[in-house]
Amino acid sequence: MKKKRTDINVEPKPKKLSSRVKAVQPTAEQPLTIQAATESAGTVPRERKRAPRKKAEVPASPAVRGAISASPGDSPATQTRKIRRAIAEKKETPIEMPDRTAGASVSAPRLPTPPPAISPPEPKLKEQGAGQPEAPIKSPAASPPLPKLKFEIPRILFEGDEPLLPPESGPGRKFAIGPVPSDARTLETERRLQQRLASGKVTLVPRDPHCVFVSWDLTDEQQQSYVAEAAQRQFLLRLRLHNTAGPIVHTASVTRESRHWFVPVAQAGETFIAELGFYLPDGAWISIATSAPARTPSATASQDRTVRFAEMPPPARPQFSGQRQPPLEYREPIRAVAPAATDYGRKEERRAPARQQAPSAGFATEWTAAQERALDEIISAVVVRQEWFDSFQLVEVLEHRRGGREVIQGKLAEMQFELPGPSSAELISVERAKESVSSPSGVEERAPDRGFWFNVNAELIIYGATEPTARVIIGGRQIKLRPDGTFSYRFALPDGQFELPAEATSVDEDRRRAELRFSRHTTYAGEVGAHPQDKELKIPAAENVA
Amino acid sequence: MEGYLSLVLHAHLPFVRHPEHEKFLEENWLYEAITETYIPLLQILEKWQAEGIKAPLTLTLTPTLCSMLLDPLLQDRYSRRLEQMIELAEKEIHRTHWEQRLNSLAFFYHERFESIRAYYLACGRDLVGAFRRLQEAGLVEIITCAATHALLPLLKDHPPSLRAQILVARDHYRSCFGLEPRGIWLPECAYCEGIDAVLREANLRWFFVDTHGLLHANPRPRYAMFAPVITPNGVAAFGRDLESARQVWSRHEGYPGDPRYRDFYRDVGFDLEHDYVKTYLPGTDKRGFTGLKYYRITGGSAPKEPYDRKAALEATDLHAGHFLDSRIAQIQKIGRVLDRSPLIVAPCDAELFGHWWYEGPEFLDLFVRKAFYDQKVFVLLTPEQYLERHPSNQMATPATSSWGEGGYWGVWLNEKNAWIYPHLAAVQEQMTELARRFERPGLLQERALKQAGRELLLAQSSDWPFILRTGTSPGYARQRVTDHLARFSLLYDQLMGGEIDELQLAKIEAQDKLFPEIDYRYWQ
Repeated sequence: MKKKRTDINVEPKPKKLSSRVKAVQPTAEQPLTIQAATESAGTVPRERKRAPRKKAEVPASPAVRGAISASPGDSPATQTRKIRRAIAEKKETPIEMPDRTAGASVSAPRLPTPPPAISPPEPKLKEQGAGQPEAPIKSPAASPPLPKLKFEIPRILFEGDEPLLPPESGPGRKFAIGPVPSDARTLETERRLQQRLASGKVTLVPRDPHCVFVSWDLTDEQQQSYVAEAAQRQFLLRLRLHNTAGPIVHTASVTRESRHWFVPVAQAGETFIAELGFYLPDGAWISIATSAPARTPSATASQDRTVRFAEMPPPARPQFSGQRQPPLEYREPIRAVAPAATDYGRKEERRAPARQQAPSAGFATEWTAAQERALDEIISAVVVRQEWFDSFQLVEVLEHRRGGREVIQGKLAEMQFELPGPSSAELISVERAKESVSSPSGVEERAPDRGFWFNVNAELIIYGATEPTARVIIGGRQIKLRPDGTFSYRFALPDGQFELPAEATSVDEDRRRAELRFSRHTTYAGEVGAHPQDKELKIPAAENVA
Repeated sequence: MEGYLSLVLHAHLPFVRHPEHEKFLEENWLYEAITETYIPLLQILEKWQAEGIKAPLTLTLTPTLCSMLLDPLLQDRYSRRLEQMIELAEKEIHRTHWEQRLNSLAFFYHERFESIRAYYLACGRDLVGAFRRLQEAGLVEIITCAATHALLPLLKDHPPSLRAQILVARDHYRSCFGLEPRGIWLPECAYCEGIDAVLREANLRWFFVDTHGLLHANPRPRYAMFAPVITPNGVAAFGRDLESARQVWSRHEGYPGDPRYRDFYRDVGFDLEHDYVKTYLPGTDKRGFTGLKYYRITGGSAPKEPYDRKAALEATDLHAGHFLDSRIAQIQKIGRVLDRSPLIVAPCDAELFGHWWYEGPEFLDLFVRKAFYDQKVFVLLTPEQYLERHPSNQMATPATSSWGEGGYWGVWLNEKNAWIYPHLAAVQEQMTELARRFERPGLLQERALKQAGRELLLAQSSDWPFILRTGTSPGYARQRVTDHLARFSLLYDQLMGGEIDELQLAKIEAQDKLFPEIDYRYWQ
């Protein structure tokens, strides 16, 4: 019989020094005192990921420190700053890497320039330079000019919805004192590495359901040669849905120093391709390169509820036998077990060795709706709390977005019913916290009894395009066109009447005018709620056209 | 018995080894983890073994961590570090003679460090061997990880790199533990479709995903994260439980934030006069952690109170009991709904226990003892043991996911670290070019090819973009990435140019010394 052994063991009282304690004597091989010159210019110990930080502690005051030492040392923060400075001062003998641009009068560490729409650029040392392109890339002259698309309007235009970077958070915050300039050797290495990137390729990587990362390998010289030909002296990055013939869902003008871009996308679980190019002064579109297609992750639970079981083959080595054996290869295909309405009841025989079951012995297929609902409730309760206490630091994300913990607390009950859908399992959608355009995070509870419900709402998107040089006035206010001449505005559309006159004037004073009138009049039958909507949206009025 | 609980500890540190410096601050990450986590964990497991407690843990020992634990240089340096810590504790016993509460703590640390030293020497400084013996005894199932903890979904566009990360890790596991690994911890729990095919090739049977990796799987798993699914390639995916993670992980309500527990940041390395402690600092002139911490979290804005070991252990006991009661209630609640015994998978970074949460090992010890002796609602087991009992599971494709902030790759791919990836993409292609070009290399060429593979693997580590993102040591992380890329480029140019500088190669080999038997052909 097992004996309860859960009493805690308190450490024994302090005892006197053991005779085993010996001061380490310096030796020739192991000097006790390490020379300062041999120390690394390292930094404070790395804060391991997601470890729960003890509550943020204010560094002890000098008085408190005085309890230990009459002459306190530097505070951790001060020391950390010193350590950071030491990085910049670090000098060591590098392993030289070949400079493939040797001879060229180049000194251009081309550090990444972040898109200003997403986050401010990280301060870095930067120099301008001009090396020689090494790899042949497609010449603009060799590209047949494409027909000018005067009214190439993105299908879905969402402005101001770029996902924000989460704030600094977690254990690293203590030592996060901002970017530190790299030392000269690192910068030189980076410069040389950068010169090796000249494939001319565009790469698209889905970062999350609503953001893709696009990068391109062009040297400074390649970029500058293209920019020199471009009508707006800048590149355009286009994101297309599905394939190269798909609709453009995002267009961004990128700076000449940029080598990558984070593009917000509305559609989760969709395939995109990225295209880098520019317009010639005559309006012809020149494509520099196009990425391979890539698919963003799905952000919701699958609607496919097919249940099919399979049986894992036995392991290749004995279970915890402790006996070493030569590596075994097993390639047996997994055995599909046909679902059968067998005698498998609400509770299986827990200890029955599963492999003794006949292959036909599946699990219960009579999974009831009541079970489904009960499990959903368990999950949703946990998921809602997860937004409070998780290890992803979602709390910080939410605080950042919602303006403080109090707001979160106030919304807790509502969040539980935030997202409609057939299953509350969808609440796990972590990206929901980002207030993405496809899942605005307004809150409107549905019936707590989880019975039938219905929410509806409406938004309005005004979009258009004209000559990039034209002047456009909407609602009496001049708007700023995108470099390709497009524009778009997104509004909430509550019940009511709205008017927005739009007028475009060319450089030759040629004018076009459109009177846009909208009305919404909703009638309801039964209990109908307002579907959550982005609270940043305003009604389509002239004063809301920025 | 109504269900199962699988405790999973993920032990990982990036490969930090700088023989060119007598003392290197970042190497202290390893020394701290050995002292505060790895050896205390081994001591606990051995106590369980002695007492016949059968509650196997699942433990990741990543290839980079194993490489460092087995490295003679780092072993020497750790031994020296231990001696320094013992010496400092001895000095502290004298210094605090008139401050009773601190004095008792100085005695405590002295004894603790001596115990750690005794264990380290007794196992011949071979901690990997110590873990191996415990696996052979059934106390722990050790699983592997990607070779250098690369975020695998970001390698998806270059299958040879994905393959190399897994197969090099598999080979390294064999050399360390004499067995095939059965499970793998995907770095950062990051998964996307297609990774399971490589796991299958490596003969790996199971891995973990974060909760939404199963909740968003296709088709929708009937049992949510309370049972594994089998992927189309025949590998089982286990989902992380949120509720248990919350209780341990949360920085706001998690157990480690209790005011009775030891404060992580207050260390005599920062508090005492520099001249007094400078010999014992991880760096020579820079202040840092020594491991002697006299204060508890305390809470609020009041001055820190001295650490009370007895009170902290009482808190540990309470928290272990609470965690047990919570799991029992959770499993009973879920068990009433499911038509099979629910499985709760509770993974944590191993370094949480001891390093970050000083009393974590005691919590773990007490919880497992309580679970083993005091209840019959669930059993502790490993995923492999679960599959032995329940080999039939629903087929589904896990969703793209990670356990990082935001649930996808935002931590490792953002404005602070995006510059890395075009470089990685370029050198990955070059590595494959080398592997295909040199099918029958000469000895020197093979050495260069292997080292090029090591440099690429090290550059791919997810630790560097993580550090750049958190800003804890951005200069070091940036330097590491550029150094490995530069060393790779140098080797690439020499191989392609037909002239390999053997001295230079030897220097790089001595610098980045891991995976001695690496097979560069994995990149073909």
